[in-house]
Amino acid sequence: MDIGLILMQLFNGVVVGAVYILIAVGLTIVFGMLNVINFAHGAVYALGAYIAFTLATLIGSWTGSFWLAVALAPFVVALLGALVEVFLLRRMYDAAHEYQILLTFGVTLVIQDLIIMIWGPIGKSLPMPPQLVGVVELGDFTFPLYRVFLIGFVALLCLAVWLLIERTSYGAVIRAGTDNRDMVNCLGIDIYKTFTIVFSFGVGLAGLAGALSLPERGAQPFMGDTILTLCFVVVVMGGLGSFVGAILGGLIVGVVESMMILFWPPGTMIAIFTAMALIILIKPKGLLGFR
Amino acid sequence: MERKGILETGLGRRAPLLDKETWILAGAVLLLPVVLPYKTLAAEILIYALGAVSFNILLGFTGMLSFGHGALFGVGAYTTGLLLKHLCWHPLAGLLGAAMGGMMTALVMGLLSIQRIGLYFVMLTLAFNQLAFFGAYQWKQLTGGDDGLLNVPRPDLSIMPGLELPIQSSLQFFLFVWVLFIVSMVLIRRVLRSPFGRVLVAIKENPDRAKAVGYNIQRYKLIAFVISGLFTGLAGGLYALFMRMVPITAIELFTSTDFILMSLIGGLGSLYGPIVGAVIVKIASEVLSQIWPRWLLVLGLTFIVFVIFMRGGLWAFLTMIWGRVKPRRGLEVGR
Amino acid sequence: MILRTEGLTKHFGGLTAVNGVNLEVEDGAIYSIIGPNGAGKTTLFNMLTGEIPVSRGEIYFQGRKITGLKPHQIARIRIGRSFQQNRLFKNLTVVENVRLAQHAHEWGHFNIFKDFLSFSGPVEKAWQILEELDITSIAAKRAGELPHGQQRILEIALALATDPVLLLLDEPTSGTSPDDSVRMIRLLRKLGQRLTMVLIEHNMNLVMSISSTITVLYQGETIASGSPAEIEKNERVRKAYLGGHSR
Repeated sequence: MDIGLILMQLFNGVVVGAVYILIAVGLTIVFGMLNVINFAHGAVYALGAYIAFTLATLIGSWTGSFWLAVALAPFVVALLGALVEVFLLRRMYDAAHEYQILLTFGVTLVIQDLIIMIWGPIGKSLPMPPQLVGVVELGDFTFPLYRVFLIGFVALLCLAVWLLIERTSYGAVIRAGTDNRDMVNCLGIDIYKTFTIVFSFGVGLAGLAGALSLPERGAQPFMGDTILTLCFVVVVMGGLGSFVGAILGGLIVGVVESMMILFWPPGTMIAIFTAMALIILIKPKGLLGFR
Repeated sequence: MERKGILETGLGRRAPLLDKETWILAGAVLLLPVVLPYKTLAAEILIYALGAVSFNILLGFTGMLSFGHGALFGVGAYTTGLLLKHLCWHPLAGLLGAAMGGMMTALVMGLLSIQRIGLYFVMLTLAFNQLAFFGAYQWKQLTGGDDGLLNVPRPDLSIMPGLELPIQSSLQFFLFVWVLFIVSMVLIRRVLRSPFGRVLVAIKENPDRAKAVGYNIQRYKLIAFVISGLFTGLAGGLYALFMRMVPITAIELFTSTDFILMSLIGGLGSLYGPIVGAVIVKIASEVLSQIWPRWLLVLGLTFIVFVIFMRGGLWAFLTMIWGRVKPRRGLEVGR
Repeated sequence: MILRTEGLTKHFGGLTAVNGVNLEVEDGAIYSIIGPNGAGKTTLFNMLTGEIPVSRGEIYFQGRKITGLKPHQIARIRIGRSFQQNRLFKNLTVVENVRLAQHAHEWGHFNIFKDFLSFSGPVEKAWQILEELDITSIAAKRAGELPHGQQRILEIALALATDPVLLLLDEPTSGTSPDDSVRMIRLLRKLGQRLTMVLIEHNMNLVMSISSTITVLYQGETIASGSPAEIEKNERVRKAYLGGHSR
């Protein structure tokens, strides 16, 4: 087997993993803070892609507008997330976790059907923005510019989020709230407003992932389903609630997936599952889980 | 004696395997083919009702939300389909195979999904269902992939040499399903009223306390999942016989959500609630899908409304009305 | 020595909640652990009953090492525990609560074939426990509907269902009215005659009047241990906790 091919697939694995990481980080942060597993995270990813598509095509010629769309779409999605949190999810904080999950699942169904109603069932695609067409050459290897950009962007974003959580006072509130919700409330910090912000942020990240995926993958109404499953695997592998765990898990799943596509495509899902199973058997809380 | 009265109020009364409740259920369900426009719908409703009741053992009684019951249903369906099509087995044997298939699948899923962190279960059952779906999709030689497993025979039931019970017409098949449904309901009720079943309720109420008084709750959850797998697999097998084929939708995530919706609407906290839910959801989907293709939207909104406002489902509503009409005696802990 | 710990320690990230605690509880004692909030008392209990893992140190029960056993295993070796925050089966009746707890220790608790009421053993035993605690009158009430004082008694009933030789009670009188407290003290005295008890308490009346030994915990460490009279006179304890007041 050509070593060059393997290295390329490794690179592709990291690219694929980068998208998973964005979604998984949102998922794990929302869980860490609100104790809710947002089953609507996949649908929100799809929504991000569609909204970016509309924004890009609305703003005249799409050459510059892709960037605008990628910048704006996450905020639109985050705003919708805030509305869902305030009007629906907030009523459920006293209920058992399972009911909260069911609520977010209902939201998924609504979002998916709204997508079909607004944009039609067929799916949309957007050509690659011209700034990202082309390749980067490193010695013998050629990497698509778009993918290099994706990795770099996600890496920077993760760094920014990490700094936010670990180094700012706001992040300290989030970390404390993850540990002890009531105590934070007692300290006079409006925990419910924080919940809304964290939820919107997590959802916004997923929307961003969708917008970024648009040129390469296009948009389909049910694109969120498979990716949600994979991101659940990522989060379980990395440990629910762990930011770094989500990054590790995302990379592992991305790389395993790409490698399997090279060697035996039908076994992709099984390989991912086996990897997860092995990790859970050795470390039941995930690689870096603490709950 | 005062003590006896208090105990009866506090614990309820012992329920024999077959009692008034069983006969009322059997009779009520028998009315379905009479009341509905098509007899085939009646059989389909019972099949899904069995799946929903079985699913609810986990959510309503143990507090475990499974998104993987489509996988159990599908495995049951494919098992029966394959046993009857390629090995020409007796339908009852094929159904036994379906139940076994459901149990085995639930065992494997459960061993991996039931973790100390309860919420992993929800995510992992979803993931498993997707895995099962993709597996069925790709393994075309076995399952027929997207086209489905076609031409599943439905031979008459041979009881003794020379004596065969026909199950060909929709009414005959309905009666066949009816018998198995009632038998399953009796067994499920017994399991839920057994000491094991009471522990499941304790696990739902307060898992930490259940552990602290001495119950190894992981084990109980796993067995509950396996039992649920048995009956869901059986429902799947009946589905294969019903359709005379196994469409790939049987193992799809949508089947899982069907069961969730039926239980939610019918009533999570009761044994019989999901039956009501199955009736309503099936009739509604028949009617609505003809009027308006945006049926998913209605489903999602219904989900949301019921989760926020009506967690007791319609069963709670109906029993409340019944309670006003006929005064209840004491607290029935058996539900 | 029915219960003994050696250098029991618990770290939570950078925080040391319990630091090198050595307990020695004699058979039949009523052993009280007191200390200001945050002194590590509940964390100590949680380690004893396996709710949280031990960072360092060992626990011995009746001579056997029990460090690291899980909660359901602890219940099986006849150590009963009540919690500071009620952990009840709120939607079930009082008698069903106790019956469930009791059945975990009798045969048939894994049975799926027979109606639960066909096992009379757990029901009988549950009734006996309710009688001992004098709460048979509320047996048919839903646990969630009880007033707080009765819920605290039900907490203890659940601990008793394990037929324990050692009872660990975390603030049994927390949140109870003075009347309920008096009732609770009487109850604990009665129980103390037939089993060994370790109590966490803030109620000084209770602690001073029924304990055989008191250990004072401060910031995760034992600062004093002895009879009630000795503790009352101990200067360190007075400064740290009793605030210099006499009884």
